[in-house]
Amino acid sequence: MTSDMTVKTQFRHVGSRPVRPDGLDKVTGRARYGADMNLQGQLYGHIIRSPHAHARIKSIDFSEALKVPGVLATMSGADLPEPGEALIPGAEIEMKLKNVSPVIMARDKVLYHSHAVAAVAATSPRIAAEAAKLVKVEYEVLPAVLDMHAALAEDAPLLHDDNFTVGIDPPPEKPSNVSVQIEMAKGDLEAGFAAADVVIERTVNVPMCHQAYIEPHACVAKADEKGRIDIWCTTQGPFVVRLLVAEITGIPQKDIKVTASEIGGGFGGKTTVYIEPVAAVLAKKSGRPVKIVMSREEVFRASGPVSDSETRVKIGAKKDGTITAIDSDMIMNTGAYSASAMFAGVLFGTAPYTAENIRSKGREVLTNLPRVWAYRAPGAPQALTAVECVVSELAAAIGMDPIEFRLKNAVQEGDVPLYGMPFSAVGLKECLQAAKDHPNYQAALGENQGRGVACAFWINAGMQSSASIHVTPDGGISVMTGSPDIGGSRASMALMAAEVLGVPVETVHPAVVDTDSIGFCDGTGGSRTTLATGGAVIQAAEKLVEELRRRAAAAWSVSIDDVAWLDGKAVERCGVGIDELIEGTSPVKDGAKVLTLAEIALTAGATGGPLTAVASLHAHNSAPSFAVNVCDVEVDPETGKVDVLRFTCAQDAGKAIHPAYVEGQMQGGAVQGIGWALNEEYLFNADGVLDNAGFLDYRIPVASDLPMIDTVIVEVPNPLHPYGVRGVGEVSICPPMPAVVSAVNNAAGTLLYDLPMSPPKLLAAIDAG
Amino acid sequence: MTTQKKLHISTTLNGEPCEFLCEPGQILSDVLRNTLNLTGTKEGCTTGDCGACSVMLDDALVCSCLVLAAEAEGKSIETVEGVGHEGQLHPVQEKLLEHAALQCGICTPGIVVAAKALLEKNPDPSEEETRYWLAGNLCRCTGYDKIIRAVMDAGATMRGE
Amino acid sequence: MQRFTGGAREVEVEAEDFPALLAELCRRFPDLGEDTVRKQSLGIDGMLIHTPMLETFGQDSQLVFVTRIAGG
Ligand code: FES
Ligand code: FES
Repeated sequence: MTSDMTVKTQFRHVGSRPVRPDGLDKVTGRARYGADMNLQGQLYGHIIRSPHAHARIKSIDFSEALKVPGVLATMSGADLPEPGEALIPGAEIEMKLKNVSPVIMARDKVLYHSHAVAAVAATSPRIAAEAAKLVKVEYEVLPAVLDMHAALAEDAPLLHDDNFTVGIDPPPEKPSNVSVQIEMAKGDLEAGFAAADVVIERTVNVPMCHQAYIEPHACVAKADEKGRIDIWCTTQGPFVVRLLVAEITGIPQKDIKVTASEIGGGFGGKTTVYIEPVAAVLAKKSGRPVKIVMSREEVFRASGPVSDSETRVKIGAKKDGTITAIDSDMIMNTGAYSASAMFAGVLFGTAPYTAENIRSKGREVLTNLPRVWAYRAPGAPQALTAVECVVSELAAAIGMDPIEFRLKNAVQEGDVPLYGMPFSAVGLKECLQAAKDHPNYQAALGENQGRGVACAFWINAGMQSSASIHVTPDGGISVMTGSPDIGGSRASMALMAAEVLGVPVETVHPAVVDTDSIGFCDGTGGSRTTLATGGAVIQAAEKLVEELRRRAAAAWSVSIDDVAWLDGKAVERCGVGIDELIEGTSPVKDGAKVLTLAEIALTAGATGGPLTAVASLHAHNSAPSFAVNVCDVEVDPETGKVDVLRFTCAQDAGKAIHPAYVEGQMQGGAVQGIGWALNEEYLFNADGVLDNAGFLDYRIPVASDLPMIDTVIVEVPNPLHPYGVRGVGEVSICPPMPAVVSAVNNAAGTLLYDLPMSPPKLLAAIDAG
Repeated sequence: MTTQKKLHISTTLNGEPCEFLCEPGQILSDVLRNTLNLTGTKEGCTTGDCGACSVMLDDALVCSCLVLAAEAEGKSIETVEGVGHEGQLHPVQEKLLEHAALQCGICTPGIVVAAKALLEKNPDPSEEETRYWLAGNLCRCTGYDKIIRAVMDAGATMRGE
Repeated sequence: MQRFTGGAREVEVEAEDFPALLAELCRRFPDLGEDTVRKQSLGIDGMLIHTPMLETFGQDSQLVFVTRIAGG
């Protein structure tokens, strides 16, 4: 299995910054997002949601609602197959249907406020909303547990009386609110701490937050007379939607087609479904297309927010800066059903460091809050925030520069992290050095100002992708994939196809097509699209080049081996070596025959039919990414308000295909992390009702909150990828939180580890000083 | 349930006369998107907090989700679809593309309308002025860096620099 | 998985491919069970195979089972 692949380092198109192919439609308003689709005769679905955080559903009565003129269909959990103990086949990680299906529609119990209970479809949104109020649901209210500590209490009310903690040996006989626990360890923890000169232990709380994509979930579903379902929706993965709708509704996948709209942000939050199965069932029942658009309030209350966590971290180091031991213990909130990324937190929190003695424990806790879902590097920011804050404190305690301290302990090729896979070439040290060399790190700090540094890791996914390429008769190139473009990936696909084909990037037209029109693609997530879907595009383009050479060879009656592909043209070799021609060390022979791509395309009908190539793959060549952030803040000691003065990100992209969109990922992740550290949190009242279900009170960073975000793209090529690509989307959200927290604590002279560092909390910490 | 009688509204929309029927309680963004099929105006919240629905109503930059459609009677509305002329992009649109200042692009129509309004009022805004002007336009993807640069660069282009 | 291997973290196994590996591990650690193994990703000499099934190994291949993780 070892790879003898050579990684390309000289590029013609890759690494340039062309305008994205879908850009014109986006700046002019023509691009069609989830809610921009309307079908003839469509109905509007409205979802009825639980007013209680925990209750038994005694009955649902639609009779009054059905009397309203214009109401044409209703549904409840009774319309969905019982999940039993079924696993969802082909899902990326093991998912029990009983943890997924009841999020779409509750069965016998509601487990959080705004849990979906029933739905109506009517001829206008207003009629649907009015009718929804007439649906009578009778509840028997049950005691609720609204935070992890309450859920862990010995006598806590249980969410699921069939939940026996997985990961305990021997398996427990009593059900509890802990769904799973895990412990990973290496080395000798006690010996490690005994060897330390300084040991610091802290407990770090990261709040529940939301991905806060600006576009709410939206879909339109229609069913034809034979029961075939056609869904248009905003999603990170149309094939994921197809799978989940099939599993949840019982409609076979072969009868479902999903078209992904343009997507208005996802960050992990649109790698699942909330409304699509409901629209499909209502469409089937009514025989009319059904559109559902979630309100912003519904998005906050009833989609999948992001786990809060409490992590106790203890780290020991020698005076020379060597980390001798790390002990971490995390609890992570999963809300009403098991879905958190606690494993990633436990496995990856210590990944940047070579420390030999590590123990990392985690428990996933069920509470009567919305079921959580993925957010950019799911699970890792929470864990890394805890570790990195303590690492920064340790560096200060032994009087060492925080970047020097990290350099001393940073992993490199061959080191083995807790999760067991030895690192190939990775760029952590390079990122640390880049951060150190950046002017930000030298800038003088004034009164009430402080600097924070943090580094971070994310594993990055590979998974399955397909691509197909077609050539127009005049030499234009269409590239099709099934990976929704969430941050400019079509630009990268065009660049990679242009690179292989040797054609101008403007002649390449990439598209994201529906599930009937392309082979299977896993979702846009796990920072996999440029690597895996891009890999499929590269392979398809290579196949096309071979086909083009074959056509030219046929036209010239020579062997395909006598035809080279140079700058978008077939060139007769006339004895010159292909490598010499490509590298330009030997010129093309005088009189050598040449056919351009357009010339071959024009006569394709006569030389074997249309020019097209397809590639599908399961990418096993992903490689992890590291990133380092430097953050300078000023704290107002009177009000506790924090201003971010300077912010710098260094990140290893392996190879940046379109550097501007790589910078964009770094900047976007940085600002999401800044928001999570300083402002963003879910605030529930005593009844489990979210108090801040809107952008006014759930405040994400706005333009005036921020400075420019400086970026340094580090490129340590991924040795397993033909162009050296690594994922870039997710790791960017891992270092900003600890960088901000350390900066604020340094500026304010506090040890506040209860996030977010909102002004009142920070002021209290300063006053307690 | 009461059925409400629709109102007949006359406006100028993107420079052309436009008449539509709306319910008394209907918001302008809804009419633009769902009655007039101008879906360039986006709805991220319908509570006035995200700016994705920004349009010009006469000379005022407004969130069209906070305006009743009936209030547009006799007024002139400009949406993102009306920015740029005769197949030419407006400099703000050009520069947003050139700077790669959009990722998902859902905030972009609102930013285009708001930034154009800024540069018409203040042809040479400072970074701080640009940031405060656009503080009502949420972008979750970009961290704003490239948006701010693009808008200031568009200003420079419009000033002939 | 360690739970089922009597605490062993590393084992030497003779196997040419994944089916053989699976059979050998299940033979040696009867409590382990195919399902437990199949639920892991497999690292083979630095390449992470998410859903191993037919992979073949070299003479001294280093294999690592890794808990499957989802991205966002
Ligand atoms: S939709 Fe109008 S401000 Fe958000
Ligand atoms: S580009 Fe996605 S919200 Fe701005």
